[in-house]
This record gives sequence, structure tokens and C-alpha cells, in this order.
Amino acid sequence: MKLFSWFLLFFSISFSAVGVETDAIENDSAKVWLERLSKSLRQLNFNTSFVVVKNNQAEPYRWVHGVDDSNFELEILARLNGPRRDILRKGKVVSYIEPEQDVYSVASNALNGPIPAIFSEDITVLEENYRFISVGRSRILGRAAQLIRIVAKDNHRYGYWLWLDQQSALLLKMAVITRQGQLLEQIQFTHLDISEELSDALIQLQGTDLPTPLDLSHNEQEKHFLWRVNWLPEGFKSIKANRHRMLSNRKPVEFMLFSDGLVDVSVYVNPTQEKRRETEFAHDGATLVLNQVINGLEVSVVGKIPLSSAKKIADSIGPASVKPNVVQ
Amino acid sequence: MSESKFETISSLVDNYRANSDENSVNKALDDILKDEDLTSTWQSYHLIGDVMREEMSDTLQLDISQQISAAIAQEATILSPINSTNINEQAAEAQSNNEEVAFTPQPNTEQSTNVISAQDRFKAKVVKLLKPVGQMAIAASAAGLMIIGVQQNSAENQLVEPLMPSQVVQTIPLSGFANPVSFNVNTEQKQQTQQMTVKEKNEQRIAQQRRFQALLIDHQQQVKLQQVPTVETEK
Repeated sequence: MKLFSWFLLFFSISFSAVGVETDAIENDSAKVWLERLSKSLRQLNFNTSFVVVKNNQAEPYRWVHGVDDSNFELEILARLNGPRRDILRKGKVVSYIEPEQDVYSVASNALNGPIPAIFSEDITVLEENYRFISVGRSRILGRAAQLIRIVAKDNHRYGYWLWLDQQSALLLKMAVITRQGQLLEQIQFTHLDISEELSDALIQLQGTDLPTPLDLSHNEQEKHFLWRVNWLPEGFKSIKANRHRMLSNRKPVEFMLFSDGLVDVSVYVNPTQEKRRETEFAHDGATLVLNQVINGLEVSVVGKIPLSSAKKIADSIGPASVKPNVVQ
Repeated sequence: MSESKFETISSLVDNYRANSDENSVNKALDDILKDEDLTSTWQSYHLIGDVMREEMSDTLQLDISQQISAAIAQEATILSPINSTNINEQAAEAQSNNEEVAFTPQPNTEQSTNVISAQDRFKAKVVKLLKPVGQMAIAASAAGLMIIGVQQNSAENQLVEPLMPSQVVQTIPLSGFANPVSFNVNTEQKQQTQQMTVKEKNEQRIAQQRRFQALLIDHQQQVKLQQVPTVETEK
């Protein structure tokens, strides 16, 4: 009921004489909320748990973040079910602890988990392709929450709904939703503690030495690619491109990674013995995996994008012309 | 019905002749045979004697002949027709016991005087032989069905397993923070798939599943391996 009354208030404001200007103000207020979110994710000491719900399954995580006296960020994200998968971050070094391989570190500003890294960075980058809309208030995790929608400007990507804590602006709930309003994946926080001091786990992390980050620069040197993507949704930029063997089946592929800031899309191209295989695809929550073989060329697209977009990307693969690399 | 008569019975039971002349004894015996009361008394005295001498059989067998005949007289006549196989069986039994002509055991019914002909006897034997064979055949086929059913089930399990990995047990762990994937697989494959055998389909599905898994794992890995394009990478 409270939510409803807020809706009423919101509408009464937006339909009042001011019109377009209020829209801008609302937009601004949503942006302010998101900026508060990224600031909180950077600066607060918080200890929280959340559950990722997708494919009718729930995956629990624990997430601890803190800033020490010298303004150095410490962060732990741990999956609680199954084999241990922890991500540790000390400043700009992120270490991944996974059962399949040895611990390795990457030089990065943010750890890569179920929550998009952009939320703790400069979120205004997204304004190019998304609109921010402040929708209303509701109650999440026993707290008053503000619902902010990140709505795609075109229909080539999904929308994100964020419920932010009124007090701290921290994330309480997140949902990935299609343009038709279908829920694909959501993250529900189950516990949130904000404290002044660093938590014990982070103090322990402080004294731990993480492995030195891998040098990934050699991957970037490869410039002579055989294939290129001729169509991408507006705003997707090439992040990197390389040739590598697939992690699990050692199949050599030509690989391209694109991002619009919020969504990462991988494109794989490799020749194959098969002449033709119809398009196959599968959904893992919001993540789409698409695979097809045309004229002996296998093309795969992975990412949190709608099927139509992925299909269009896959179909746009063509031989790289004189210009060897994809538009930077 | 004098005391003397009971006395005489008693002494006769005891094989003791008080007055030893033949005539009186014969007369006494005649009296006993004529008089119902005296007959039952004679019976009773013998029973008492048996009990006292501990010559009784384990079960006390009083005369039940009268009750039986009374019961038979009261029995309602059964009018329902008798099952032919039933008759045959009984006939066969009777025949095996003694090679005489068998009568049905229901003397009140019409078929009471039916004589089983030689042909019928043969039939009866065949029926008797066939019946257990038939039952065995049914039992055997039921068992066969069960075995087939079990095999079918396991085959189905194998088919379903790779498609839906158990949510509890992760057979193929994904790297990074991916879930064990239970894909909602949608193929755009057309009728040609229908002509394929189950095995081929199964293999194709597993291969497809593997492709998806591999792609997803690699995607997650590559996303993680993004280097910050800043100058401070050495830190």
C-alpha cells in the first residue's frame, strides 16, 4: 500500500505542469542513486550474503568488502555451495581460487562475480545505451528500498532492476528482465551488515600475499585475425581479441570479447569438419549460449543478450578484410 | 423301564450274568434292542466304561449320524448349473481314483446322472494339463515384462541424465561463478531429427551440451581475464 501511494505521488508529480523537466529530474535522481551505489560499494565496510536465483536454482554467496586505514580496498566474494570458488581482491589485484586450476591473479579494479563490476565504477558510462529511471519505493530485506530501473534504449539487450537501500544505497536486490517484462535471473540479498571496522576475514586477507598478476599483454599483440564481426548492437566495444584454446575441450578458437559496459558478449569463430549445423542455443539464467555452423565455420555467441541480437551477431561474421582488426 | 432292566444292562455290559440262564439274557437283549431308551443307555454305559478304563480315542466321537441326516434333509437344493470344467475335473479325479463311471456329486441337479464319455475324459485330462501350463506362461510373460520395463527405465535414465544435471551433485563444475547449468535447450532442428535413433539423438544432445558448457566456461574465464587498461597494471 505504501508502495502504491508512492506510485501515486510519483505520477502526480510527473503529470503536473512541469512535464519534460520532471522527467529529467527523475532521471537525474536515478543517476544520483546509482552514483551513491557505486560510492558505497567502494567506500563502505559491508558484510553481506546474497542468493543468485536462476534456472530454478539458488546459489548462495557471501560478499565482504572493506577499506583499510590507508584507503586500500579489500574484498572477498565466496560461493558457499559446492567446491570452493573464492575471489579475493586487494586494491588492483584480483585473485581467483577455483577447483579447476591453480590460484591466479589478474590486475583489475573489480572482481568479476554475479554483480556487474560497473556498479562499483563510473556508472554514467552506461548512459549512452541505457536510461536510468527511478520507479518507486518498496520493502526489501526488511529495509526501505528504492527501485531503480536501468532500461536499454534499444531492444538488443536486457533491462536491470536494482533495489537500493534507502540509507546506504547498497544493493538489496537485482533482477534481469526482458523488454517484455519476463524475469530471467535475480539476485536477492539475504543479510546486510554495515560496520565501522574491517571484518575479521578482511584483516586476515590484509596479511595474505596474493600471487602476482598474470601478464596478459602478449594476448593483445595478436593482430592478424581471419574473421570479424560486422554487426553489433550500438555501444558495444571490442574489449579484447585473441586466439586461444578453449578451457575445457582445448579446441582452438578465434575469440572476441565485446562489452557495452554492463554486458559482456563473447564471440568464438573456428573452422570445423561439419558442413552445416542448425542454430542451437541454450539459456543459463540470462546468459545465452548460441552455436551454429555455416559453410564449415562454427560461430558461437555467449552473453546476456536476447536471442535475436545473438543470432544477428553470429550471422554477421565475415572474413576480415584488409583492415585486420575489429573496430577499436 | 424298571430299575431291574438298567441293572441287567449294566451287568451285560460288564459281561456278568447275574442269572445265568440263557433265556433271561436273550430276553433282556431283545428288550434292549426294542427299546430306544435302553439302547442309548447301553451306549452310555459302554462309553462310561471306556472312559473309566481309559480306552477312549483322542476325540470323543458321539454318534453324529442322526445330526448329519437331519442336516442333509434341511439342506437347500442347489439349482445353479455346474461349471463344466469343474465337472470335468471332478470326473477326472473320480476316474483316476477308480476306473468306474463317474457321477457328479450333486445328486439333486439335472446333471446328476451325466456319464462322462471317453472323449470327455480325454478332454478333462487335456484341460488339467493345459491349465498349469497356461498359468506358467502368464507368469513367465509377466516376469519378462518386468525385465523389459526395468531395462527401459535405465535406458531412459541414461538419456535424461546428461540433459538435466542433478541440482545437488555437480558433475561438470563451471569455472568462475557460473551455476551448474540445467539448460533449456532449444534446437531449431527440423524433421530430420525424428528419423534418428534414440542413441544418435542422445549422443547429439550430449555433444551439444558439452559445446554449451565449454563455451560458457570459456566465456566466464575470458571475462575474468580482462586487464585494466590503466598504466598502473604493475602494482
